[in-house]
Amino acid sequence: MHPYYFGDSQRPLFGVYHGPRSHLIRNVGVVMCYPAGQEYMHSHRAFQHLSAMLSKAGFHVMRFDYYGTGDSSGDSKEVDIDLWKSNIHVAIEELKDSSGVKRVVLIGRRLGAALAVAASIERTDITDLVLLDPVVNGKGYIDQLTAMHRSMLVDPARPRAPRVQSSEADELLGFPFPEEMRSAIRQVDLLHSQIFKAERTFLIISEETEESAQLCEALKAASLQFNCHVIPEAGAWGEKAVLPSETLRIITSLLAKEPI
Amino acid sequence: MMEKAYQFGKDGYLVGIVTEPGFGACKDGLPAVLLLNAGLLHRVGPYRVHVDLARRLASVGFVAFRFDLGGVGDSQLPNSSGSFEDRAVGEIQEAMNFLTVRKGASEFVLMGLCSGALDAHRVAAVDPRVSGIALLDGYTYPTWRYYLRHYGPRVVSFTRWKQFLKRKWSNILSNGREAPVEQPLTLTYPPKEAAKLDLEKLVQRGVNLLYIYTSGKDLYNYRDQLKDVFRSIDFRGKLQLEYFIDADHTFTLLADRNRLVMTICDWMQAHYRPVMEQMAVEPERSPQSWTGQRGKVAPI
Repeated sequence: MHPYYFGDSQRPLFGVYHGPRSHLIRNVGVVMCYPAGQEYMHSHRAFQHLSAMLSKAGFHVMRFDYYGTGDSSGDSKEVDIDLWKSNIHVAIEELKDSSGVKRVVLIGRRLGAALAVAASIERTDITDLVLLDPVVNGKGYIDQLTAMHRSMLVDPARPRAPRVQSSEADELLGFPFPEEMRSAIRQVDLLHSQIFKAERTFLIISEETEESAQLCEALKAASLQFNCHVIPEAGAWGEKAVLPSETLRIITSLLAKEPI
Repeated sequence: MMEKAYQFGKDGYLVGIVTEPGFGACKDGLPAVLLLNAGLLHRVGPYRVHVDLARRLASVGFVAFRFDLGGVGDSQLPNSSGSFEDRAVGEIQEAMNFLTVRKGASEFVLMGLCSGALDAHRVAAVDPRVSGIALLDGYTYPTWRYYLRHYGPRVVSFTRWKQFLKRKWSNILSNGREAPVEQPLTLTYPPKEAAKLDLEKLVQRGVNLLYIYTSGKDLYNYRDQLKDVFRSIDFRGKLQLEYFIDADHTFTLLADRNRLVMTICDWMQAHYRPVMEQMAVEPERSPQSWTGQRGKVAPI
């Protein structure tokens, strides 16, 4: 495992490369696309474990932080999802250059899944898309975060609630979400997206919702080959000291084309 | 400003990021700052506060190091036995040794939130290289004034009694089968007498102390509570005690985090400024300028 900075030297991205740790070395790489905001904090440990599992299964794996997030350069207020999509392209090229693989799997969770879809549409080297609880409707996602933020401010369990909104009006649940970013996220609509350009698409859902059902219908209607797995481990993606182990195991098995 | 990722420790099992001013290694007299994990959150800290803090500190001349303890974030679990607390002390000292070898640091300031605060205290108590600690929502002990402020409003509040009775009635109706209460990960504070002895040692050594508490901290509900707990200690002006009454435990809101970062940087500059002025360090002029380090980095 090697942590390092890559990409544009003026705006470097932080990534962790996991080399294959198996006698069977696969000729496909995996790039992991984190979600945003609090969901990034909740996903980091699981993504680290999944990377280690995929590495043991023989994959070259790259995890990385988008610009303005995690350990990558950039202030938290400089968030921009178009830039994040281009960061995915840079991470893919970096993995291909470092490892020699020619094709790549994209694994994304929540907003990261939507970004993975957007990036895949612009490429021809994506074999599989693994979408974990994807953000299907960007407007609904922003509305949900906004409601949660407002609820947090008046939660009587919070110190000194209700908290008057500070001058940081562009924040949601502790992270900057400038209006430009919110507008861009509102444009996310996987139900009416262009055709996903991947040989296989895996939809991993921790809780069946109307939105996930609509996405499955949309993928069927588009005659896309996909598999949907419902693995009720939603709570394990939260702040608890447990991992969504079953989800990680199934993803590894699916990609390694082994029986689940 | 530069940032570089490192693997260090035996077989490179620990991972960290050094953030340093453009001129590189620690100058004589300036401490390196270590930012310690808060619970299981990786080295970026809650809401990326360690990244913000490291970059702000570097902009005014300090080398800052955020890293993951074994089994947290990107660091592996070591092949060693012993308690988590003892292992954490060893790994923090390993990080200090690493900065001595790589950056020429001989003096250190440790900063941590929650479990990180306890780790900072434990290391400071045993390692004379630590010249300062910034503890955020660290250990605390109740006082009579704490109990008065905590229970007083509850006793006289009709709303609280109503909620209490409602819970009890609900419990009776469910035949005593209460919904399981999720237990948070609990921290073990040092016994009060042991903490007092440690603090006395630190004061004797001249260690600079910044203790910050929030309203989100259990067992702490007024500004001077820590001073009341350790009333017999003469801190000799070494203790700066802050109470962020509006903030929650992880400084969720941006305004609280911004104030936290400013408070810490001001404290660092107040205690180490004379050295900095001698070196005529200029703060970074452009917050957007960057010198990144590309490529993989070999383990130490």
